[in-house]
This record gives sequence, C-alpha cells and structure tokens, in this order.
Amino acid sequence: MKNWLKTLKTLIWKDLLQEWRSKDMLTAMLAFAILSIFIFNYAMELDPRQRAELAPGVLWVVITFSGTLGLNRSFVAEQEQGSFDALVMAVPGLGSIWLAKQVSNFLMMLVLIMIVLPVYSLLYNQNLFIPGLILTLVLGAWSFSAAGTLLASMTAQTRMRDLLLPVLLFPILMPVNMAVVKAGTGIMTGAALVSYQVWLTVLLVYGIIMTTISLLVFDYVILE
Amino acid sequence: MAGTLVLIAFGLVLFYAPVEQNMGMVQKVFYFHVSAAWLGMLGFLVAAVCAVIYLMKGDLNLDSVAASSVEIGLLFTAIANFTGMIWARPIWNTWWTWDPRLTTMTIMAFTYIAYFLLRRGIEDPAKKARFGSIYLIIGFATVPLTFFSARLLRTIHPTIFGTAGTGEMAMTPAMYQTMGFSIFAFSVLFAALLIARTRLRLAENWLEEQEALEQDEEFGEVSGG
Amino acid sequence: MKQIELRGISKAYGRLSVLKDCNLKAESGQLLCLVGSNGAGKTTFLRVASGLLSAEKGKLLVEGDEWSLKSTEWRRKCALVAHKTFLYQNLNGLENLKFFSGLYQRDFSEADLRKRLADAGLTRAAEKQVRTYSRGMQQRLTIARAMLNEPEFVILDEPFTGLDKDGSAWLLHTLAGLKRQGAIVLMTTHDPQASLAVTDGFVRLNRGVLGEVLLTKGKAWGEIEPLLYPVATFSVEG
Repeated sequence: MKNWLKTLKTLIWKDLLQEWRSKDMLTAMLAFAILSIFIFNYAMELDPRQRAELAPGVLWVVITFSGTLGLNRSFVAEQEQGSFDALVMAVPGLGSIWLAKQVSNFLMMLVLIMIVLPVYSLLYNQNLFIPGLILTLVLGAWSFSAAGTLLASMTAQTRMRDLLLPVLLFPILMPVNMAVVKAGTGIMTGAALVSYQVWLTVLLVYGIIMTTISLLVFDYVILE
Repeated sequence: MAGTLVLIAFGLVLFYAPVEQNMGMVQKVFYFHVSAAWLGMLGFLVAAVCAVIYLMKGDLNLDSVAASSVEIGLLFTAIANFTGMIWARPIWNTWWTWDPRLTTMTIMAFTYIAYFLLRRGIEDPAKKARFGSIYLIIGFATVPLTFFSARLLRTIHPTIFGTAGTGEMAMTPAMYQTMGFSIFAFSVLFAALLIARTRLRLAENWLEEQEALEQDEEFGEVSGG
Repeated sequence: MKQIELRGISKAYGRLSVLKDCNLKAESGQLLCLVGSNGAGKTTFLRVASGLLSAEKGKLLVEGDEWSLKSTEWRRKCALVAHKTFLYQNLNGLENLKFFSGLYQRDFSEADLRKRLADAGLTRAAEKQVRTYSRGMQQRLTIARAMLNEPEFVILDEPFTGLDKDGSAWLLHTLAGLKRQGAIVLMTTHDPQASLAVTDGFVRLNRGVLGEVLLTKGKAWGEIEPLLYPVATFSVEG
C-alpha cells in the first residue's frame, strides 16, 4: 500500500512538472475558454435574471470544450516517447498510472475553473463565487476528467487522436452535463437544496462508477 | 423464418389489433416503434456482454459479434426514432421532443457511432477489439444514469399502460398480444440478422488476413516488422 | 539469476505467425546477439521476452523454475532499451532519473544520480531539459535509465543507433560491465561485427524461427559471417 502511494506520488509529480514546464495543456485550455466567454456575450444580451439562470450552462459548455482540448495533450508525452512501455516495466499496479493522470488532469481542470470563474464574473458583472456552484463544478470536473482520462489514453493511440476524443467523450458525459447544469441553475436561482440535491448525487455516483471502471479496465488499455 | 414471422406481425398489426380510440390508424406504427426500440437496446446489451467476455477470453470472433450487434442496434434505433417521429407529428404536432426515452436512445445512437469511429482509427485488430470493448462497457454503464437523468428533466412520452381518455393509451388484450408477438418476431429477426452480419464480418477478416499472409510469403516480411 | 530459458515462444496475429516455437537458453554473464533480416520478428521476440507483449504459447524458466513472463517481478528484473527513448522531454536528465528510480521504489540520493549521469558522460547536461539533448545524448540517458534497477536481464534493440564513436565505445564498456556483474544481455544490432568483442554468441531469427546459438569464442569475424548470412541475395560485383 505504501508502495502504491509512493508510485502515485512519483507519477503525479512527473505529470505536474511536465505541465509546469511546457504549459501545453493550460495554454490550450485557457486561450479557448477566455475567447469563448467573450463570444458568448453576443449570444446573451439578456436581462440579469436570465443571465444568472443561463450562467451555469454557459460556464459548463466552456469548461468541457476547453477541458477536451487539454485532455488531448495529456498523453502526448507517453505516446511520442513510448513511455507507456517503460511505465509498464516498472509499475506493479497499472491502475496507478490512470489514477495519477486523473489526479493531474483534475488539478488542471481546477486551475481552469479558478481562472474562468473570475473572468466570467468580471465580464458579465455577476457574482459566481457561490460555494454550492463551486462544489458542483468541482464534482463535475472530477467526473469529466475520469471519463476523459480513460478515453484519452485510448485515443492517444489511434490515428485521429484529437478529433476522436470529443466524439467519444460527449455521449458518455451526458449525465454529468445534465446534472451540472440543473444543479447549477438551482443554485443560481436560489432554489431550495432539496430541489436540486439529487443532481449532486448523480454527479457523485457518476464519478464513483467512472473511477471504478477505469481502474478495473485500464490494464487492457496499455497491455498488449 | 424470421421473414415469415415479421410478415405475420405485420398482418396482425393491420387487421387484428383494434384501432385505438384517440389516435387512429397512425397508432399502429407504435408496435414497430416499440419493437425497434427494444432491438436498439438489445443490440447494445448483446454487444456489452460480448465486450466483457472478449476482454476476459480474447477470442476475436466475439469482437465481430459485438460490432455486428452494434450495427444492427444502430439501424433499429434509427428506425425507432423515425417511427417515433411519424407518430409524434400528428399527435403532438412536433417532430422532436426532449423526452427521456427519446433522448436516451439518441445518445445511445451517438455512442454507437462513436464506437465505429474509434474502431476506424485503429489498424491492429486486437487493439481495435480491446478498445472497442472498453468503450462499449463504459457506454453501457452510463446508459442507466443517462436515462435516469433525462427522466428527471422532463417527460411527455405517453406512459403506455395507463387508463383511456386522458391522452394516454389504454391497451386491450388484443393489443397486448399483438405487441408481444411483434416484439418476439423482431427479436428473431435480430438473431437472424446478427448471425448473417457476423458471418459476413468474419469472412471480411479472413480475407484481410489472407492478404497479409500472401504479403508475408512474397516479401518475407510484413508491415510492422 | 544464473540461467534463463525461453521455451516454445509462439506469437501470431490472427493466422499470421510471427514467432514459431522459439527456444533460447542464456547464462549469467552472457551477451547474445540476435540477428535477422527486417521483419523477421526480432523486435516482437524482444518484447515478448521482456513481458510487454503477450504470446500465445511459451514459457519462461529461471534456473529451472517456471515464471510468468507477464509478472511484475520478471518485468522489474528486465531492462529495455528500444527505438523510442521513454524519456520525458520537459524534464531534465536528473529529473528523468529521479522519476524512474522512484517508480522502481529506489531511493537514490541526488549525488548517486549525478554519478550515474557522469558515468554516461552527461554531467554538463544534467540540469538541461531532455528536449535540448542530441539523439546520442538521449540514447546515453535512456541506457542510464535502464540500468537504475540493477537489471539481471538486459534487452537492447539496436542500441548503437544515434551513438557516435565515443558513445559506442562507452556502450561497449557498459555492456562489458554488465556482463561482469552477471547480467544476461540480449541485443539486436545491424552491425554485429562492431560489437564482436563483447558478444558471446549469435542467434539467427529467420521468418519467425529461431536458430541455434552460435558461440563465438575464439572465432574471427571471417568465420562467423558466412554462418550468419548464408544466402546473399544481392551482390555488388558483376
């Protein structure tokens, strides 16, 4: 168990350091996210109350699309330098490779959210720093990157890579999309917790299912 | 044999089942609509089971069964959606609704299509089968949640087994019988199509292997070293 | 690990057999050179031997006991140097070594790692990101990486690629060192003559069939060459 944790720590350290040096993922995500927020302005010339209701939906769309761009880059190093092989030779439980990637991708998503929230709040003159909303987005981000990391590990090994990930990911992600938007809207319109807490449960359940399946199935992704 | 059964189903629907009081003749599309939707689900179910067994056993033939099953499932999902639309237009005056069953089936269709695109992007048959199976398993696991979420969102799909006179449909025994038979006939059709399509796919694979073998003979090496 | 034996290794892709019932015995301190034309299956064989690729049939025997080729214990005893470098381009040499040693659960001190880099001739580049390294430098680093876990079975797939004269000399020196420590080395190369000094035997892979080991003790290249390449399809003269 101690070994497993040490391996996890080593892998996460490597991923974060790689990202810190190259800033590949973050650049792709942030550029897209901030541009999108600007563009949405033209689609949303509405009164403040309607804007508040729409905010979670718009935010989530921006986050998922940017997130996909980031996910595409997450296995590039392994793919180009063949490091999967080296990792297989050294690591006892291959699931730890997935979990490490999942954690570092999740952290990237958190960084994205931490930047997008203030930018959005500023440009649309709307306070989005509501704990409930942030919790929803965080749960959504975990589920998003759980599904996305598993799929990205596969698409990285195919011909069409970047194009394929969104196509594979979005149908699978539907429950998360619905849950985040509905819970978010509930929170933004000040509805009672009882009315939207089921959506938070959906997010939690999805996250658990996706994490479990990924850990079980990841061996088949990198072993031949 | 499957063909005969389906023809009988057609006959039953047209002549045996009574005309429903509110919706008229158009309602008869309903039997095929539900059967087709059932096959859509069955296709996915069979494929997911094959996927799990494939990952455990590694028999590539299973992968061909899975792929064929998804293909047929996709076809019938399309039919279900189409027949649904034929029905919806006169009754609800709209082509599309965001109702849970329809939404879920459409998302399943997207998953099916994504499955084929994933396979297209991989050359190696073993890898194609592995990744395809993994995707099927993930896809299948999310279907219940998708349905649950979509249902939470909204519903105007008629609940089938309700009382008459409220814009919902009541089912007489004759209708139940027709429905049951129709589903049965379609299931047999599914099995027949699955066998045929899998055979065809296995033959295609065999041909590809044959070409690779000949290339090996001629050049003493195969691409990929 | 005094002796290993690979028995009955067979690998097929569908009906296409790439490896047909291959057998190989090797002893501690031996370096065997695997030769064969392109597409003969050399890389496939190496990948099966290191536990990366699963074979339909085949056993691994370590000193007579059967081991699973796909077990983590076996994989950790192996070191692989292949066409791709496995290195992380945005990390520097020192960090790459630190990463891989962490995976092997080895706690080398920084001084230790620097010494290894120095042995590979990479002292000055230790703190530079790997993407600034030349091909030869990356090759040296990946070989240093492979040695981290003190492997007992070392597999090298054309390791001289990208190495200049100095680098090649260093690799030969490293291989000799490995042999002295008792490791078993299996290597493929396009230029077997260049590594004749460290080679104990040749083994030829022809269309998936592995031949007998040809020991080279005391033989000159002139004697060995015709045995390795019996059929010349092209000749330069006339």
